[in-house]
Amino acid sequence: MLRTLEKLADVLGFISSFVARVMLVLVAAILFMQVVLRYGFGFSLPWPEEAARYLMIWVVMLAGSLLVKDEQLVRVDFFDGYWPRRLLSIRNAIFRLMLCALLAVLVWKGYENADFGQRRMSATLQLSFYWIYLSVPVGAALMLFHMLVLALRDLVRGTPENDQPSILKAEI
Amino acid sequence: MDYTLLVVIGLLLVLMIMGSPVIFAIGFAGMAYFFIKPGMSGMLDIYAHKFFTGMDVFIWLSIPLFIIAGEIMTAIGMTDRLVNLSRLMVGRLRGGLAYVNVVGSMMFSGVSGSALADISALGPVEVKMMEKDGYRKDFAAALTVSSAIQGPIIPPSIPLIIFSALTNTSVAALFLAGAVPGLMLGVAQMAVIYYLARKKGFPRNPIENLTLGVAFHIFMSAFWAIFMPLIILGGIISGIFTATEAAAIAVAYALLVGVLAYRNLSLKAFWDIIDRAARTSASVYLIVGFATIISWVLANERVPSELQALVQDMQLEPWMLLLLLNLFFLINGLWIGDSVQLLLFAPLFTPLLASMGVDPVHFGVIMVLNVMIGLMTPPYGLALYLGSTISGVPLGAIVRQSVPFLLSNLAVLLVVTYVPAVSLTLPRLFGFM
Repeated sequence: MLRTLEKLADVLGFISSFVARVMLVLVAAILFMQVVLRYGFGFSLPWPEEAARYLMIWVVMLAGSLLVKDEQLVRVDFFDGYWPRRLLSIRNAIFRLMLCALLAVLVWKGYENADFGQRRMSATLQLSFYWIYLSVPVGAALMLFHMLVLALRDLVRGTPENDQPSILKAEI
Repeated sequence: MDYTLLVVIGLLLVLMIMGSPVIFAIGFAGMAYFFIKPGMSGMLDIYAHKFFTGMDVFIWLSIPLFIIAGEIMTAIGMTDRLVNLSRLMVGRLRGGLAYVNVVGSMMFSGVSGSALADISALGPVEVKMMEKDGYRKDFAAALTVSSAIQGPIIPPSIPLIIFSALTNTSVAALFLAGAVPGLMLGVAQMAVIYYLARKKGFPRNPIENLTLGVAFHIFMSAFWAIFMPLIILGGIISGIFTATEAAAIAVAYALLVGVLAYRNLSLKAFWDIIDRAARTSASVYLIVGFATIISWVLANERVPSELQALVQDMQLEPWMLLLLLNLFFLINGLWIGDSVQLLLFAPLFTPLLASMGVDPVHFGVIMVLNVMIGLMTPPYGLALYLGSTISGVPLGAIVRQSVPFLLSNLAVLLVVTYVPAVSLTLPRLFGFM
């Protein structure tokens, strides 16, 4: 069961990573295009600024789920050495379940925001706010899923031995 | 301020000390407020909304772009060329490679906006070179960590961009204000090296068989890296580009150099860079989102105005408050990272200081300098950890060797804090204030 979930997490991670990367390249391309238009041709399109901002939030929410999955979030972990191993696993699982509650609120309220935004159109993009606000619940749901899988792993197998501080895995 | 706020702050501290991911400790403490404060639980939609709007700011887009540009410059071997150029300039001196370490970081900081990026890009090369030349490895690692601290003070700088967005201060003014203090950090470190080189007899490391032709070749091969800050900074300072536009140009520039001039940027390398940049930006953006909620909570509890009243009651002079804040930031820096401090405290203290006559641009440089020094203070200096990994030297050994450089950095901090002209002269000259 845990194995299957971990496999599913890998698949989701692969897809999120691919989509996030494509979107990030788009963000850079859109912004550069705007600069070229403004300084090269003396006019600017109305929509690139909005498009880049909203795309970036999608990138962040998707890549954020990868940070959860690959445990790349910075923690203050210099006290970890003082914890007994078994207790550490349980502590980590409890943290993860608490954070699941946080993420559940983001999914729930984030989706409500998206739902309310359905009929509002963004100023220049003429896109329903639903698609823009949807980034938060989708990303939070992915994070929630990865967090649950890790909590399960901590309880079943225990947190794997890790003598490196989190900063070294973290992406900063 | 009542008990709810104390609970929120307590929760934040306890979660962080217990080892929860920092981002989520901030998020969780912010959420707890809505459940503890009477009558707030129905307003949870504010939580999701603030989280989104905090991240939805145009200037934040410059962060991923500067990260991508710096990573591309590293991937195409710009760092080796810069190290070579620094060797040409200062290698002949006693303690040559130690100076190279500082000068190389100075030049690279014109390309990159992050201290940790400096360490992972330049560190491995520099430590290896210094070790081969007979330096102690722990000294080499400590110097690498310390010289990287100046990176985000010298523009372009991600921390200065964050500060500017949080406090509505001009990026161009902040970048200009950071230039002199950044160079001062480098000069102070070089003064320490000058002293140590004589005391310990550091070797010289001139380039062999140096002719004018060789020198010219070394200069030309680093030319594209030196030219880049001119475009970025020139554009921002002259008001032609915004920071975000400049960052987009930096990416395009780095790509052009990699694909056309050096022809060593593979699609695979680029794809990996984009992955890393997406993850790095995500960790910054998520802190931004959750910290925005905490800032909202603080404002809702009237913390800014109570803080103002408190300072007035205590009849603090600006110089005393600045000293207290320096200590506060440095102590926080012992265990929390740079962006967390900026996001939590810059919006809180900047208006307060502005009302006492401290210019926000000046305060921005002071604060960023503080949080950067925090990266090299134990137990939780992120730069120390990274320096330890890239060199394989235990943390404690690096900490011991970095003490003289820590002191020189603190001396610069003191000067920057109490001599506003150090940071404010350039922005004044260019008419930003």
